[in-house]
Amino acid sequence: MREHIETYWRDFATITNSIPYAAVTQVAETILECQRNDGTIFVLGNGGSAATASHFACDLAKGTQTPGHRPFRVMPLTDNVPLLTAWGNDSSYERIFAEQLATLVRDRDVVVLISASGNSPNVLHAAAVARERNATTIAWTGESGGKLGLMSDITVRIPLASIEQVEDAHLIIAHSICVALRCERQRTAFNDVLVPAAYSNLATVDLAISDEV
Amino acid sequence: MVIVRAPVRISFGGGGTDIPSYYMQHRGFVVSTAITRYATVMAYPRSDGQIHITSADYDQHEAFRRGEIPPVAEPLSLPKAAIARFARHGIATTGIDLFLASEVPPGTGLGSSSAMATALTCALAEYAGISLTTEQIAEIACSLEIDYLGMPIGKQDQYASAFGGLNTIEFSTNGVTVTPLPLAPETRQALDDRMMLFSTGIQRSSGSLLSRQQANMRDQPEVLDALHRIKHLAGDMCDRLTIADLDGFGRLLHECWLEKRRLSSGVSSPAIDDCYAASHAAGALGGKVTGAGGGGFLLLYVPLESQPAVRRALRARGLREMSFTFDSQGVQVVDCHNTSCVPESGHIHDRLTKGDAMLEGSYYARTH
Repeated sequence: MREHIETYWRDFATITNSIPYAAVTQVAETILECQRNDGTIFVLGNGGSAATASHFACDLAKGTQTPGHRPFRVMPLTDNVPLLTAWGNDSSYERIFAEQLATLVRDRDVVVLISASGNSPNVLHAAAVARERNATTIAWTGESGGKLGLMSDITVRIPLASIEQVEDAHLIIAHSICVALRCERQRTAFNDVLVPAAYSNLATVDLAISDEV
Repeated sequence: MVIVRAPVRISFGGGGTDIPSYYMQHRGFVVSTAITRYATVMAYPRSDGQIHITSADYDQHEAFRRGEIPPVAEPLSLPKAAIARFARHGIATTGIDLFLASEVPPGTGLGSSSAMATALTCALAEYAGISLTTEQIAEIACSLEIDYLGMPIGKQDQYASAFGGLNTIEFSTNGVTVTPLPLAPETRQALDDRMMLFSTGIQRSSGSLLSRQQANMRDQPEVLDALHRIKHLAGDMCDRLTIADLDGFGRLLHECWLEKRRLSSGVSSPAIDDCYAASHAAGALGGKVTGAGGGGFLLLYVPLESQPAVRRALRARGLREMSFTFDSQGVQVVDCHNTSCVPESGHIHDRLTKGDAMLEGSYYARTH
């Protein structure tokens, strides 16, 4: 047992050697550009990648907040269980993301599609809708990139052996992008887009409420 | 020990349509041929775990300690990206001596850096005992340049180099399709005899020119229109070649060059325009500056009887001719001893099998 656990961690240590940093940097820059254009970032995936999509959306929304900057508009398409099951039940599982995107996505938006195989049908359908609307498509995949790699403006391919390692790498990529965006925003605080007064008022209101409680 | 070589290519038409921002919406289409000038990679095993990289083209040597994977950065960023890409296949633990040399200098628009990426991919896969299909080699080579180095380039050069031969290459969201042009051997030879290459002595990075072109496409509809016309001209070129109307093909090259100049202000220069005009006056029917333009080689279609005059005109302007013929083999392992240079423990083998499963089912390229 312990042998397998140690092997996994030792293999894990080599992950950093194989990350395509240029592509990851391009993703971070694209997200920043999307925010400047007042676009929305949508994130989606299946299984472990669904969890990564939610996690990334959470950290991008909250973890990158910096005084002096407008927060990112980010939305995971993995978390509305009623809507997911409705589309899955009434239409098909392949349409669960595509149909959500169809009602929301615009040309200034970015769609982050997470799929280790790069061939999950519901992710490919979502990519097709995003492309029809001229949104920017970003894929996070495993070694080959699959069909998704061919349908995306930017593809981050992780050349690692197992699905688990690829999923680990995806989550670390999400964290590294959030940290990089936060650092970049702190560096440029108050030089870029100033926060509209409404946001700072909200913060005050929050404080006032918690004081009362 | 593994020796691999991959040919550079001359692109006749369709350049610029192989970039995702174009082909994802409109399908890309290029026509090109590999030529008998090569990027060569030699990989020798080491026993001390060190990684050594030597590049004859950049006159650079770097060495790394056992267990140290070189970060992907200049200098020698391309071989470092290839090592990072194949790191998990055991190269990092055994060590390797990599020696790189090209017959065509980098930055001259014949796709020599992509030929090098293709040769590196094939060499390291061979070295690690992994078998890849030609299209997998091309895709990984693209990934090295685009994903690891962040080059804003297209995919045509890697596919042209990996497959070799005179092909049309189509790009769409369904994949990349390589189709050899069905020419009679004598037509192919006649075309080969009529193509000439002259070095302008100017080196440039296609990256900066192409990123300007990509930015232009978003903001300027006329750039998109120019790309549409370039694609249609590439289709017309194929039609001319198929009916063996070589002079007609040469004249289309000329039209295509006029379109390409509209794409981006850096595509030509007064010195290049002067050389082009001189070759035209001496009897060349068509031509272009190779690659993304801005320097490199002048590629010309010249009827046999006009070739001496064109040669004189361009030599007088300081250009040097480079002889070549068409290549039909693509990337090849020239020599390989002790096929698996990486010790095959059960553990590594297990990982390779799973990794290969993840590579399957995603390419649609047709082989020769």
